[in-house]
Amino acid sequence: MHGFSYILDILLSGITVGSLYALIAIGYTMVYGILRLINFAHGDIFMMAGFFMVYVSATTGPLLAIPIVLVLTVLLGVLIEKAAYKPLRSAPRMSVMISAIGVSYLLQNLATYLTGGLAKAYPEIPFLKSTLSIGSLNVKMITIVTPILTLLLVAGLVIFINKTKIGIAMRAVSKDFETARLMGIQVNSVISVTFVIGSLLAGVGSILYFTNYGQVSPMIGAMPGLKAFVAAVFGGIGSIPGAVLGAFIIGICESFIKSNDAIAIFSNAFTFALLIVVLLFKPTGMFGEAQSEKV
Amino acid sequence: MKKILAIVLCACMLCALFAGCGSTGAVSSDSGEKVISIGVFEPTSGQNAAGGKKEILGIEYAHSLYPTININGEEYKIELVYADNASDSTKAPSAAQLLISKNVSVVLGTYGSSCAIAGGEYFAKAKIPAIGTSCTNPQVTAGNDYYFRISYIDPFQGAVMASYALSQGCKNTVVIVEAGDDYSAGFGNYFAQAMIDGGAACTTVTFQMGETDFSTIMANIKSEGYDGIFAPVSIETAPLIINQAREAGVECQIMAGDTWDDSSIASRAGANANGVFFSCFFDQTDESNAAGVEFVKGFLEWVNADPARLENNGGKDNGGDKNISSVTPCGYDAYMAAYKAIEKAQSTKGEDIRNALVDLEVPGLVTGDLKFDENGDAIKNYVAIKTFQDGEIIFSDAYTG
Repeated sequence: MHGFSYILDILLSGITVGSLYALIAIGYTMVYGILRLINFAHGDIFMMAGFFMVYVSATTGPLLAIPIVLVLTVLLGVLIEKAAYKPLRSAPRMSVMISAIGVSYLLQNLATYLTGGLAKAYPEIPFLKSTLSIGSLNVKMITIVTPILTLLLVAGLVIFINKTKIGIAMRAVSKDFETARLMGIQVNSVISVTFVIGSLLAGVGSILYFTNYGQVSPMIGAMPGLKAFVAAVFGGIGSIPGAVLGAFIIGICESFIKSNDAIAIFSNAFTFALLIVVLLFKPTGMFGEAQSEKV
Repeated sequence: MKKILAIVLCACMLCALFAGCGSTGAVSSDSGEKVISIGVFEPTSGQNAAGGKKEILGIEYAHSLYPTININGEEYKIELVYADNASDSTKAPSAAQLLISKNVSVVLGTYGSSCAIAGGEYFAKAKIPAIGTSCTNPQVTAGNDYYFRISYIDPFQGAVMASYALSQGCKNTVVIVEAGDDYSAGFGNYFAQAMIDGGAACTTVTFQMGETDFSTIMANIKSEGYDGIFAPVSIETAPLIINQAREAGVECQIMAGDTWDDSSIASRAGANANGVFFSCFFDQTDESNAAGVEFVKGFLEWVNADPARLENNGGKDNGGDKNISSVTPCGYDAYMAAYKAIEKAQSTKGEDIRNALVDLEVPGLVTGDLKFDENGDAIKNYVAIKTFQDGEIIFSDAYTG
């Protein structure tokens, strides 16, 4: 009954959503890989990046605003790390996680207070907003740009981590925090770089996400943040290719579930049920390394 | 250093604790003058915040015109007490309890039927009457002796919209509703029923709360070839649906109800929204009602006098300096109904005011004459149909009878 273009529509929608989850999921997975911390504030950094764009572009115009927004987002990410996580470096892991939840609520309520709680219209970026018509298929430019940009960024990131000195230091820190410190690695600067990269990708993700949907509201970070977290766990938390693959799988599955009226209502339930199943049967996810208990 | 920080933080929390105790009861204040409190139960955050703020403007405007009331020969100052239900039916009970704990005599609001239903039972238990503004689901007042309502209700609005849809040639419509939202599900259902009774086909699809991606629903609509979309959804969701429909190449008629009378939808959907029509309570260009004309003039002057009010009315960029959403007069009329009821009851007690509301009659309000039926719903027979045109909301048609 449904034609080929229908299947393609659903698939494209899933790939777009999946690549947006991927950009957020990388931030979760990198921070976890290095600090063993689930940074619950990550979804809200994504939301704040959206608001930065709204306010900055009001004075500079959307194109010039993009680099400024990315810098601001990175600063916010690093500031959160320095203010809320660094003082707790030697505290039990649970304390840092609770601090992260606190930061998440702080950002949400701060945004509600500063913006008045209303959704704001997201500025239009002319190039991304255009539409291509191929036969009966209408494809938004953003649908094509998002997955390509995501894959390019991920490829760049993988090269960065495997080839550069700081990348090697990052891997060393994620393997063994204390030994890396003894070997003369500046652990604090490595952690800062992790937050820089995570926030930068969240910033890019926010530009693509909000250009697609057109508006930002203070609570909008929560749901994509949670889904990206599930993607990171599904892929094996700590693994970048795993997070990206997990995000694409979740995005596409959700899209096909939502296209079926009878089960559309369960699309979120599916994602979170997946989290439970993964944690029960394969806690290390698809690509996660098996943890050997240190003695 | 850490100890100092800890002490400062403790001091801050203690201050917050004492600040909470500072509020006074219903009928006394520091200067000794008599005060009666009216609760404002509205969303100022969440997905219906834009609507809630516009209703509050209506209430505040009425309050600025009638700031005091005479009870048993004594002059009472009317104080508005606010509680944000955050557009969320799980947060509405605590907002309702906040108002009850502050000893309000009567409650106004809310925008959004889910929150009204969730808060309603608490008001009834505390014997405080509530006057619904634009919550249109029949469940708000049904079985609740303490909830009244200014606006019309959804079975009526659904039938009007269905007859309008049929007159536009819609034969096979799809209703898009938000799961867990009493307004959306209820109104969608009444519309679907009326369409089917009118001989047309109607399918319902649901999406989850907070959804931003409607591309799969649009792909379905294209594939199934529906000729009309009816979307009783929140202000925040509306531009997403309109824009994503048009961007996906869905060209059919899009329709909705009273929530869509908001200039932010018009400006965010722009030309994509051209030809979309919706029902609402009030038309600001209507000159047949003297109270309405006076309200429009006075209200716009009042809004433009203060930048914060202008911002809450949508901001100058969205036409907040000249547009009035139809929920604003509902807020105004709710305040006036409460005012007249207190005057009639000559009491600050919730129970007395409730008894006064039952057979209250107020002629010449902004949305017409006011009289409640046996459920506590205002008897209304006027629906304005409006449409979007290049980022503006314009009046299209009126339905009476």
